[in-house]
Amino acid sequence: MRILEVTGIRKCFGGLAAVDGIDFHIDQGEVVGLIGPNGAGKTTLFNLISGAITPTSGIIKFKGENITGLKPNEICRQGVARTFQLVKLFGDMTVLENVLLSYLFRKKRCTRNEAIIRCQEMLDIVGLLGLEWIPAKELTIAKQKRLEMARALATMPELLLLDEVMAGLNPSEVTKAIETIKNIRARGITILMVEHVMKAIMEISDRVIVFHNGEKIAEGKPADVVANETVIQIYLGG
Amino acid sequence: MENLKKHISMKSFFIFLTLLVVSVLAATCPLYLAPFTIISVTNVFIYVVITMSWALFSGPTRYISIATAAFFGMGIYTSALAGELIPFPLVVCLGGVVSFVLALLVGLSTLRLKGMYFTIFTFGLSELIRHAVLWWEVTKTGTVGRWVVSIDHTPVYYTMLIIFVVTLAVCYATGRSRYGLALKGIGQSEEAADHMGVNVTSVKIGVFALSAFFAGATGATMATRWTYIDPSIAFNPLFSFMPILMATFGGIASITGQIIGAVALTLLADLLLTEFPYYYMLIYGVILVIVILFLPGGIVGLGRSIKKL
Amino acid sequence: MSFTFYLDVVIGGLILGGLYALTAVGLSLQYGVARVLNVSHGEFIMLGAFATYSLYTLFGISPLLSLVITGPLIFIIAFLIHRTMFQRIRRTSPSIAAFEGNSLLASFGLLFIIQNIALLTWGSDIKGYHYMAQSINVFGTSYALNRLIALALALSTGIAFYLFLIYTRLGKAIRAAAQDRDTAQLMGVNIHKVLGLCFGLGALMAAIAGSLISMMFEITPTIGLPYTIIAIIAVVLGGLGNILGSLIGGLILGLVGNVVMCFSPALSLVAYYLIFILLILLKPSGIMGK
Repeated sequence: MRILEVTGIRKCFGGLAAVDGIDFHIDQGEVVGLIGPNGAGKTTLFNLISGAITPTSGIIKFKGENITGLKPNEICRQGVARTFQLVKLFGDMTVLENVLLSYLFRKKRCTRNEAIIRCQEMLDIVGLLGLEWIPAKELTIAKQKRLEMARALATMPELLLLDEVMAGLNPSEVTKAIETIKNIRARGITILMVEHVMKAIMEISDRVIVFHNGEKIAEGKPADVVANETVIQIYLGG
Repeated sequence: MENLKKHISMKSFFIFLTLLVVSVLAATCPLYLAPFTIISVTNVFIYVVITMSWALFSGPTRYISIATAAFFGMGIYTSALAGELIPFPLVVCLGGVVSFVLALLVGLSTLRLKGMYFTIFTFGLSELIRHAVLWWEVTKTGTVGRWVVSIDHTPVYYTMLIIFVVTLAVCYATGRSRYGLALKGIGQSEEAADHMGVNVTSVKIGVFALSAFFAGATGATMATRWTYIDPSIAFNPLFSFMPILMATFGGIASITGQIIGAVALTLLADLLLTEFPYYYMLIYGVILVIVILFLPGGIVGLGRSIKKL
Repeated sequence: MSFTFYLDVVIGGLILGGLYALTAVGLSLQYGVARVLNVSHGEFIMLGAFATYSLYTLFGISPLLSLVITGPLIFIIAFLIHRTMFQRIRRTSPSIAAFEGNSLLASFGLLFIIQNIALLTWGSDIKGYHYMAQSINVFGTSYALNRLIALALALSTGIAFYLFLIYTRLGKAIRAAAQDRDTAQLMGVNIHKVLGLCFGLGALMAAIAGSLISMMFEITPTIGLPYTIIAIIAVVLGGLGNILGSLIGGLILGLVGNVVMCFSPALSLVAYYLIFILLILLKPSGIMGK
């Protein structure tokens, strides 16, 4: 089933088209990697899908339903969650409270205790169990990124958008993050991830899409895309 | 584990007992305290309520509202206009409803935007309403001041006691609920909260209007002790300033802090108005500046820092 | 309605607008560069007015001349306030948003402090004086000379400030800091000095405006608040952070205000707020905003 379908998406800021006529789809259960040089429009695309901004033209469908132009909280309720390139945690709140907020707005009728137990499960998936009572701002950047993942998971998404979760992580942290993403995938959640860390892309993605200057220039299996002439050109040339 | 359970239930029992005793005292004190003291206690309740209700919204969300005087004044005018037409309890509720509606309008227009627009809008709001009411009274009704139906200090005390209990219950319940988390989340990162399924616009507007309700009801109650009001008395910017000062002074993040701040500064006000009546604005201003510069957590924050030493 | 009537309204609007523009540019310097929304701005206006009043009534110093004393004095006071209070708030605030909030609250406290000091110094009675109140004939209608002087002074302050911003090194530093503080700092601009200077300059403009007000109107220690509100509306109208925008915003408000005053003086603030509400609903970024 096509869980996400993006057709003819354009977003212009002033005279500049950050995203210029993109078409692609994602099937349920896939892990799709989205790569491309900086400024290629990847985060803009995420913002369009999550509802943070509205497209100039084009349609976004989630599970067949048109979600174009809906507000972020409405899209979240439909089943799309995301992390942010620049971490946007609730810094003064504890690790547990960060996850609890998402969960309580997803599952409105449950007791505090039930919610806490379920949230601790989320923290376990991302490997942050035991840190519940620490203020989120005191975590290292690697743990903060994993907390963002837990927070997004608590909204019970079917599609998870990961925005450069590996940025700034050292090799062992990258390995841990890859593990976490595999755990998430094992739970049946479809993942679309923007990444620069090629190790992660190669290891986890079923498919890779390449962006450049707001356009899709290549798409296919990781090995094929990486060998693609044009892709090599834009990464090494210009 | 058994000892822990026993310890917790002992603590809860003592808290319950204390609350019971305090409630009984509060409910019966008009019987044995002098009228002057009752009025003082009522005054404390008034400031505690407007401080708690201000902090309910502006505390966690960091959307600073300077509109309390507008809501308070609307409550006062409700009392002046409706006091002779409907019974006192209804006047109080009506005062709350009028302020609620005003806050809804303000929220719908400004809470979609950055916090600074909201704060700026609320800053001039009480002045705007004062000018509008003055113009109306002068040109349409011919009177500037109005007389308010006077209510005896005992019913007023009980009314304020009830408003206080309701406000406290609402603030406490909200804080413990998912909306309490949502409000904090909005203050920390509104965009993230939006993406996690919180309808941030509805929550902001709803809680802001709720906080205005209590300010309006309090204003309607307080007016009956003044008997004479005019736009300058009703829409005094000091009523926007005081809840901010009291909450910041006591500790904006906790209900305990808000109550401590309100009680301490109201008692200080009684002192200042008798000893230094020409300096109270100056002293309040200085206190606020000092707290912002040196005591960001307020008294409660200071207490916590001392405990850590 | 005759031509002279319309001219009357327009010139009166320009006088008022010039005054508002002056206060708005001052506030815009403080918010746009130093990021302090100084709600006690009107109190500095009031101080300027009273200082001029006192110097004239006690020592006979002409209001135009006394600016040489009151201007620098208020500038220095404001500069010191920024250096002590707002610098510290900047250091202790975890984010820009927190800083803006805390400094707004601190300036709220300042409002009450300054107003109380003024009340203690000058009392709460209405004060006024006559200076150059004789009528001058311009294009067929007569104006009080002091109002024409006020217009001239507001205009020349505006032009002088514009030239300062464009041609002096400090002016360029201010424009740089207003556009992009971090880059300006990297380019060698002493950012703390510039922020303090902008705050001081903003207060200086307020003082000049206050001086003009004292020439034209009667004053009490409570006149500050409406001027603060009008300046804020003018700044939002022009676009938060845009200095030229606030000047235009002030002029527009002055013209509108004068028209409204022909029908009902008491409704002018209501009219300004209606503009404000429309602005917020339709184009919050203001005239010059993005």
